[in-house]
Amino acid sequence: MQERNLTRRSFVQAATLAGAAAAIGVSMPNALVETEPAYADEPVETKVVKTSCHGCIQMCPVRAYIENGVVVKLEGNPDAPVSRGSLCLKGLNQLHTMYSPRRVLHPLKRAGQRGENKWEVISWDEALDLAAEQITSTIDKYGPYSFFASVGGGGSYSFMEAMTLPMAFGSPTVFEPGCAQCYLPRYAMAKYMYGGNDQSVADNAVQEIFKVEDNKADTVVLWGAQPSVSQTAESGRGMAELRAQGVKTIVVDPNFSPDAQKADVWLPVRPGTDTGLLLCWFRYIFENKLYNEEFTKFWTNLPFLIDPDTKLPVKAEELFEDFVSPTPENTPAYVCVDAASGEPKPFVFSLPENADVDPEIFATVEIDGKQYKSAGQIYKEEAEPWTLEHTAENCWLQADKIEEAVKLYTGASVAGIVNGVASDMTESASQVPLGCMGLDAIMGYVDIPGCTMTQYGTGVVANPTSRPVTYHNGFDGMFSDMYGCGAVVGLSDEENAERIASFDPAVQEQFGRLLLDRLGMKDHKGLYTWCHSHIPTVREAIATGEPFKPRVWFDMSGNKLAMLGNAKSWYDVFPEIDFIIGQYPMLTSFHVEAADLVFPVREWLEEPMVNMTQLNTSWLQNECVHIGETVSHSIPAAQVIARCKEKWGGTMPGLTPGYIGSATEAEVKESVAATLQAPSWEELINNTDKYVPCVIPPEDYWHYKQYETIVDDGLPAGFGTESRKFEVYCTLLLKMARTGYPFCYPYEQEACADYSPICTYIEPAESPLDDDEYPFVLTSGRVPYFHHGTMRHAAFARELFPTAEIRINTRTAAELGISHMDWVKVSSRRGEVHARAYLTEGVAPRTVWMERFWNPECYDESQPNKTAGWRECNVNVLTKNDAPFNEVFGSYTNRGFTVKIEKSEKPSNVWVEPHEFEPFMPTLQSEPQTKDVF
Amino acid sequence: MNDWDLRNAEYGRDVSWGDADDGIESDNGMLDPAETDLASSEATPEKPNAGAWSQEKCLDFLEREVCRHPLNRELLYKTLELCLDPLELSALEQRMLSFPEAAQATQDPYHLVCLLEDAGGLRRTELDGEGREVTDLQKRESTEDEADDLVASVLFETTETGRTFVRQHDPRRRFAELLDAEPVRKNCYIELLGFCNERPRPYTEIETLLRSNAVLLSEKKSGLPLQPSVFVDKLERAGILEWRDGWSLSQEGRGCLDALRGE
Repeated sequence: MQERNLTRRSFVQAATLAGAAAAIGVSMPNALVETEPAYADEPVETKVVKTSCHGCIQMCPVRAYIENGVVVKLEGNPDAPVSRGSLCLKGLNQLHTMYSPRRVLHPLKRAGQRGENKWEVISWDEALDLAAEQITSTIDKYGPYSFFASVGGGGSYSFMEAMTLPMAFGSPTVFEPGCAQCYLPRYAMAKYMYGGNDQSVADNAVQEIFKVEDNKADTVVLWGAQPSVSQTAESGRGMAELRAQGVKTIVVDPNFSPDAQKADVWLPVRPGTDTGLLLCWFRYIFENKLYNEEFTKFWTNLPFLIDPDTKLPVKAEELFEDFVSPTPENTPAYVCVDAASGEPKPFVFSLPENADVDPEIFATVEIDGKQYKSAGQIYKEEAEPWTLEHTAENCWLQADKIEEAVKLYTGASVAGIVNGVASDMTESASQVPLGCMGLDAIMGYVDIPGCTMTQYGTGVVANPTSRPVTYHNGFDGMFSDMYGCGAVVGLSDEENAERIASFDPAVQEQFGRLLLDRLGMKDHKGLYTWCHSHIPTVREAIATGEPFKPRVWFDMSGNKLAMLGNAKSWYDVFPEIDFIIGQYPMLTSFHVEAADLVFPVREWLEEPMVNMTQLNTSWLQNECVHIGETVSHSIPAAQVIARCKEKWGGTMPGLTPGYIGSATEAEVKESVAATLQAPSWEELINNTDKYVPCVIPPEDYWHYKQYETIVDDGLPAGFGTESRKFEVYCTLLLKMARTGYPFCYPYEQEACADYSPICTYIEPAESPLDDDEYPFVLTSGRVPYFHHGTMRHAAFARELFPTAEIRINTRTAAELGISHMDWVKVSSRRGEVHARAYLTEGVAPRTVWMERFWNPECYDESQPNKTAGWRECNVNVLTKNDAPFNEVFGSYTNRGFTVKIEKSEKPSNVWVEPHEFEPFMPTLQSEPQTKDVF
Repeated sequence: MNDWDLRNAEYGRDVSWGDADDGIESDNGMLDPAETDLASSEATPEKPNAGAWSQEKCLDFLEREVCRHPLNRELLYKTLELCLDPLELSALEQRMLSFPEAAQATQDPYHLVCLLEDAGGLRRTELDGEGREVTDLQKRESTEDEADDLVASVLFETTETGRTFVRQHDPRRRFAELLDAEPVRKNCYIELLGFCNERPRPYTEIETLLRSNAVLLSEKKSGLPLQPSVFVDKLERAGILEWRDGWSLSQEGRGCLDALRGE
């Protein structure tokens, strides 16, 4: 931190006075008039503070310039290894957010009716008491299941808090509009398939390709991801650096994004049909034998023979009576067809050079009258229809471009797929990561320099000494360790039983009950990975009151009406929810329409935190300033819990420890200091340069080919699956569907239909191929000005991108009589919204593309007929939240549904011209600095 | 022909998107207002108009307003019922505050009464000291202070729309509809009503009572067995159960239980 005291006037005094006198001239001796002292007359205390942006999920390191307690400038920190001093529009516009006249600085209680933007400022004491009274009285009347919580999407501060708050009250219900629709499928499938990191760049899982030193990246496939827009300053910058170094890129995206514009090959796939393209790649790679033969044979489970009745790999003991495996019980030997003899043989786990079989990847064999196929053969047959020509026709692509892309991918010295959020928002949410990770696996692009799936850091996954195991139930299985439910994949049956035997049976039973009673879990057990409920099932329960009614809601996010699919269906159930608590820095449509009480929370310039890493560096999000009675995000719930506990005579109905979050600012700060290895917050602040960034030495961070490391059982480590193989044929999905294993262990969840263990094609339920009424397919993606529902009140951001735009092909627009920037009405089977038409060749003729939007100006005081701003331009009025869902995660359809478009008019209340956003200009710079509330 | 073939035909060559320079994106018109950037029309929000609206529309509007917030719903219903005979404001407020639902209401009685008036469920009559109605004409012909002094009391009476609403949503009728919709649960409801008739019951006791109930165990929704709270919720929603430091029967609830037991 640097401090300088300046008096500008003294610095420039001589020059300016001389200049002014000369300009005025001797003939106007009375022209100078005495006025109030200018701002620059006062001494300006300037300091530069290290902090991190929190404008999106990646959190680029930043330097904040603070003059007399007001942040006046932000810039990227050039010491950050990936962002290298970049800072995007979202970060820069934080000044408009921090000091926005829309800021909520004090607790607010609703004064009028829901839907009216009328609020009463109340004290924290009254607010906490009101929240606690509503929660305790509701639970007293209807039981703990009447409580539920929710949070926002990627980048949300309160992910852990929202997940654990219901646990504290004994409720199973929590959700966020992301989760199954954002990141969970990719995160979870990686754990199921190999126990390692997934292919997401946005969520910082992929780090290897952004290495500064010794970067071996050669070819990168951006599959449904646009880093240049979504995380411009970090991974966007990172991709730019890669391209500048000559790394080749393939972009699979219906939209001609900035990354697509720079790509070597762009594949504008029809929205929702990525699985067809993936199977095409599999087919091409299998047919032309382009896969990494050694890795596929010895490190994936594709050679395993699959029992046609159970769909599970056959264990050697099942077919060979006298066989005794030389490996431990939790490292079974399976069966393959040996290439040398053509006969089925036991396939014992070992290094390739120690194997006593040469396993066929594609095999069909009859044993005792039963036909067994290898997993590879099953995959090959699934992919068979997906020729280049068929794929081109179905997916609206060109066959030669598909071939060019797959040749680039397979011909690289190393490549890797980056799997973005797009597929999470479709019915194929589990199939796409199955396919993307499966492809990288058969190519051997795993845990090697330059690929996208690597294990880094100082944990045991990155540097194994024993056989890798994978924990489930929350991040790294934290809830398994806390409450005793959940098997650890890779441990033996005996080890798992012994592990949970040490837990209090009452706690275990209560947690187990919460798992089994969680809404939507029978059908979509993948949600257990993050302990989240199935959103449409929660909505249904609220609407019908069955199997129980969630009726007091604590939300920790921005605009649920802009983010939840089929927003009106949620608006329609608000009258069934008794009391709604929110916490956010400002009021959104959701608060206007629904909230009864709102707690004020800090903006990122105010809240201490340690954010996502950039490679091997960790950075501080600093308390640069603090205004009003705002608090750090975990505090409201912690304080409410304390009040509830008082009302209940010192006990809580839920689990212990239950809520994970800090109750005071001091706790927050000390936790941050500890994470950055500083002895105290004070020491951290006084010597920030010493502790920030916190750096793990590269030699301790980057690791490769861990699967080959010989570990304590004398075998190669392998991967964190039951077979110790990379399960391209994902057997855990089958067990999960049938019993809820590993999450519900030792209990069993009711079975649902089997989940597919391989990538399969799913035609979107609303398909432009046969929908005459709604002939266009709509998909979405980010624009660089906003993150989720944020920044729509930032005047400069709105000036640059004032309103929702829908990208339409020029030919399509001409057919509809639509000109560039015309207002259009976009309708789906759920509703209708408006946007301006952005004509472009960058989308296919029957594809349209529209980002989320909402309009906070609609309830500005100047509006004669206020609305809450979520119906006008909000694509989530159109999105589809009913079945069919993704089988594993219950993902509904935010992308790849059908719409129709017609010319229309601008909706009332929507602002477009720059001058209209004047009321959003920041005004709170003069707010005094305030002390911590708690 | 697929879209690609059509496109190629148009340009006479094989182009990938972005190659054709038609001048659209070099000048994207961001600075020019579109022709369809029309000024918004200033429509005023709808208010119930008994003269111009159909009875059904009036009823729908009233129902929407009454049901807008669940913590106010039953209290608003009871207020409409209270005012079937005109009731003076202070007496009305006192009666409203005596209901168990008042403890949870999100607004004070007067604001709720005004809500019902705005929704077309109640009619306000202002009386002078002689008990005569103060008309709008009298108020317009007075100063503001004189107009205030004119009004000695305010009466509220349920409108025709409000009366229809009260009849349609009578707790006995709601309960009958509930039993018709869910006949398999009838015995469970009777058991619960009898249990709560003995004395006010905390939810935990109801949970214990119903946990092994056959209906709970056999019926499933979203793949899960019903929670006991479902029955409490339904009966409360019907106006049969109310919370008085425990679940108890409302007056209508006692009547319904007697009738069921008599069957």
